[in-house]
Amino acid sequence: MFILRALLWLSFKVRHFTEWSLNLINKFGSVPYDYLLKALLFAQADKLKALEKFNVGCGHYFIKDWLNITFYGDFYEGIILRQDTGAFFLNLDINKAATIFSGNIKCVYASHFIEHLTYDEGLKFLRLAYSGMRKGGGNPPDMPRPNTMDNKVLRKRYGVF
Amino acid sequence: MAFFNTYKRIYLQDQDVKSKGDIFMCQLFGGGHKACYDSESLKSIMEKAGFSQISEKKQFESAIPEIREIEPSSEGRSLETLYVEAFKE
Repeated sequence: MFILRALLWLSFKVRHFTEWSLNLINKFGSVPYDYLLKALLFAQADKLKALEKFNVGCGHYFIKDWLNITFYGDFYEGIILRQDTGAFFLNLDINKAATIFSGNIKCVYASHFIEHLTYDEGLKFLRLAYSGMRKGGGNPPDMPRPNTMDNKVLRKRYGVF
Repeated sequence: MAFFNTYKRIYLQDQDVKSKGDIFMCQLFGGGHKACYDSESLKSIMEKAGFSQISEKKQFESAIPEIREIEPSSEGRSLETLYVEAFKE
């Protein structure tokens, strides 16, 4: 685990995010998925701590300078990318998101998102958001918006890769 | 009635919806929805999570200074969105 984390850290620190990083991840295909995901997020801990505004369940709508989190099942998960627009993007299933809510978050914006979770998942998400926020932070969820953008559109429109 | 007619015009022009019940079901289960909230139930679940100062807001009414820049706006969006804001004290 340490070696994996160290390699990923080196990958992000030295090379930022490159195809080389993806090849590295692919070599660890036998590593349990959740294990790899935790290692990935650990490797980006410094970047996560610097981001204090989260746009959760954002679909295709990204906000500049915020960490925009959405989940596309056939997309690389757990990697924070900075886009040309200035928005940070993290592809992540929010049900696995315990490690990203650091306690330093100033604001969680969840627009047309909570209705896409079951009641229990929604409560879990709100508790995560609450625990990850600094005191005095706000959390405005609003709802609902159909998510119609697919992975190809995301790539084409925002040039993620 | 105005809500259903406007909602149908914006979102469901190509679909075979005939009644308010049909539109309600589209809203409830469309787009991968798994839950549905009104103002009271949304406030309730947020309170259960620990938040306080929970209140319903109008569009662009927020403690987020840049809300007008980040909040998407359209006729449909304004029509169907419930805005609730809360704080951690």
